[in-house]
Amino acid sequence: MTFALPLRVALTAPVRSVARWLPTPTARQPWRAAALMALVAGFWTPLQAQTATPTATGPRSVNEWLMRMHEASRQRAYMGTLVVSSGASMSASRIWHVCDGEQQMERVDTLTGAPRTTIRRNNEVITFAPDSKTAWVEKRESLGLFPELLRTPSNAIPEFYGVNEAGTERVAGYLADVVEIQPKDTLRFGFRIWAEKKTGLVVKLQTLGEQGAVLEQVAFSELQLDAPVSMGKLTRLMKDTKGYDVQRPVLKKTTAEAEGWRLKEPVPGFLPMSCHTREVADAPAGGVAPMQWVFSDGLASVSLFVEPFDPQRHGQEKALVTGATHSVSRRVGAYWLTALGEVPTATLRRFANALERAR
Amino acid sequence: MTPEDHTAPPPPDSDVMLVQRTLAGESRAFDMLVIKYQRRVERLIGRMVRDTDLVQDIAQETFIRAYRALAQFRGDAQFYTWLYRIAVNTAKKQLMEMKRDPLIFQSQMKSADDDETSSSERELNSNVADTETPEAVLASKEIAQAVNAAMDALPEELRMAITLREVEGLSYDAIAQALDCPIGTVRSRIFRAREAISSRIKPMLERQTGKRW
Amino acid sequence: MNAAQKHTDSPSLASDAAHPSSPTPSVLQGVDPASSLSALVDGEVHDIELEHLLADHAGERETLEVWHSYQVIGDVLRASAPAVANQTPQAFLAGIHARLQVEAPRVEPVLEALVLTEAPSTATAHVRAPAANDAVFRWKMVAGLASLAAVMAVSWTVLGTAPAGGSSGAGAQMALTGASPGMAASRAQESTAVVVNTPQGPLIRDVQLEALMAEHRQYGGMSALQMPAGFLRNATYDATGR
Repeated sequence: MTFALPLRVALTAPVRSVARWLPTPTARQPWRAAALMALVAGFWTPLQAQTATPTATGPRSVNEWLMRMHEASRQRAYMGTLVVSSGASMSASRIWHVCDGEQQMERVDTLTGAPRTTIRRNNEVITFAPDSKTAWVEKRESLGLFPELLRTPSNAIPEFYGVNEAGTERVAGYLADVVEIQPKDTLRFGFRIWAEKKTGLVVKLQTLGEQGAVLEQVAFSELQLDAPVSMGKLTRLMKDTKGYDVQRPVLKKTTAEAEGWRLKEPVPGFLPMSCHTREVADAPAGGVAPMQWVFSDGLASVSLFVEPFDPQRHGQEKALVTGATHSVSRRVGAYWLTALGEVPTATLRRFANALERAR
Repeated sequence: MTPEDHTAPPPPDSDVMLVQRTLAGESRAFDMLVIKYQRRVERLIGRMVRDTDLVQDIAQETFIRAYRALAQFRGDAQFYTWLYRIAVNTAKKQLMEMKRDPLIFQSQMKSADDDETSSSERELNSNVADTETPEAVLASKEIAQAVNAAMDALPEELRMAITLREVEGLSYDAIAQALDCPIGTVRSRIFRAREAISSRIKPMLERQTGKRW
Repeated sequence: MNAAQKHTDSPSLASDAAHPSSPTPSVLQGVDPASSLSALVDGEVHDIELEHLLADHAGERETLEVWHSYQVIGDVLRASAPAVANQTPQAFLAGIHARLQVEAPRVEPVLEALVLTEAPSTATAHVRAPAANDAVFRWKMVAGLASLAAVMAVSWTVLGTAPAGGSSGAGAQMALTGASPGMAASRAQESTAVVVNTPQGPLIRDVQLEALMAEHRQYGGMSALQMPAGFLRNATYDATGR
């Protein structure tokens, strides 16, 4: 068998890597040489897609990247396996996603820890716990906010974050652009995001702390775009609560002001987004459910939980961290504050210091 | 020390999938990982420790530790790299414990000369681990010969497909492009190649077992 | 010659397969499991195909035989390992299984059968490995805050041993019984925080804090990155909040 080497053969990475094997005795494995020839003779450069196709408009702004990433998940069906890892631990789940232009549906089955199936349609979410035969039904306001968030004049994101395009990598078999979103101050964390090249779908996301340390990573270990996910099936699953004790936690929307709280000084970049309390029936044993006051700078969220101080349950100030989420708990007058957020501890301390009673 | 698997193509994603399946409760998936890496791990440990039985022991211990720590394995690192480190640490720990008895230690610990100097060369030229029993060495040689003979006897397109996959480390996608055929055909050819080779070595593999699965 | 043909071998991977919500016969009927194993060796198999392969064929001895054979072929072609070890794979595996059971009856992953019933659970009765999650909800102290450490040193009671996050060696679990030293241990206090010694250092498990964390995840995810990454991440380990 002979091959005439075409003139415009591009030696790609795999061929370069095998070239060093040529000196080894091929007498025992003559087929290896033939295979190499087949490779080289092919009019094929599998890495062609990697040569940068410059966008018509130049590099994207941080808002443009975020919009693209958001839109991607709204327009494609996919399924895969998601792995969340932080430090020494890892959790995984199976994901299905489908949309039909108006409706977005998702199903998430945990593969580790307690078995849970979560199904979402737009901002309605039901979580099944087969081990206790309990289900929780909720409407999640946070899911409907974006992209209005980006369009508001008070959109703080470009003021506090810069963007840097850092090449291309493969994730779960798909080529992805690596986008770094870098904080402009020390009050927030950065992100490294892998966005699938063609669609912009986020396939991997790292939250970065000081010196670029990876605090948490969320990544598809396995992904199939345009998978045949059936919206009809998901809808049926969502409605099938037979045998389950269905709970509908009710939030009472309110304002911090109405509850008697304010920040004497805002924390740069963070705007108040919502505030709610819970019905007393849902309160943990021995207490009133804390008020939750949520702030965001567009990318990072902070929740301030405030409840009356209870010496039985509340002790000393503490600052803890798990993954990318930090927490600061301390006493504020006759109350106890727990601040949680994917921000540095110092930022949470600023919230804690700024929180005061308004009346 | 880094894994010296220069000859191996980048590990495929099936390792991560098998880890996830294991964490989901399918212990069979872990068995498959063990079967895949048993010989490589034993060979690695065999470079540090002389005694055949001890090598096996440490190899088993390695997989046990890996199983217990599986939840800590990050999906994006190579599984074999992680396993490799566990193997080395397990072997070192074992050797340190034995250090208390200098006689045993001396006889167990391989000298630096025995070790890594021309490891990649040795890999290319030899399929054999130093601590293998003569029977195992012979059996390995026989099986290697049978594989080569089976490869020679394969139809060209099957041999091409399996070579590009196993030796050159190309994905099905890349092979399909190189050979200008559908991916389904690539999968099928590689499968048929494996079946053909497998049928030749199966009696030899079974012979070494004596008992059944 | 295009990626869309990736699964032409398995035409039955239709939408049914995407939602294993009821016990189904193998959607890969007609596909030789050895063919799936071959693709699995190459990492060219979808997770669903693997799941069904294991569900349908994990108990068959041919599965491991074929897998072993394919691995040997690859190792011989690449010279990456000897074809034969001193111990047969069966014996090697048997040794591992025996030691796992004998050495540590309660070591994670403890395989407790959790039979998941009908919709919306998955088809196979999954024997689930617990608590890869557990470690996620262990909080670490932020460096520099000494007060908590002082409390730990002064007032703790050993409750018993518990397996540490996956590594060998058990950790002692201690309960924080109160804020100030000298408090009698017998005083009825709800200790919500438990300190666990692990190879990663002392970690704190705080039930109250975890409940708030769940709330933060559910209602505080006001982020441009919420969809899909944030939401999916939260759903992946929302569990212990409820």
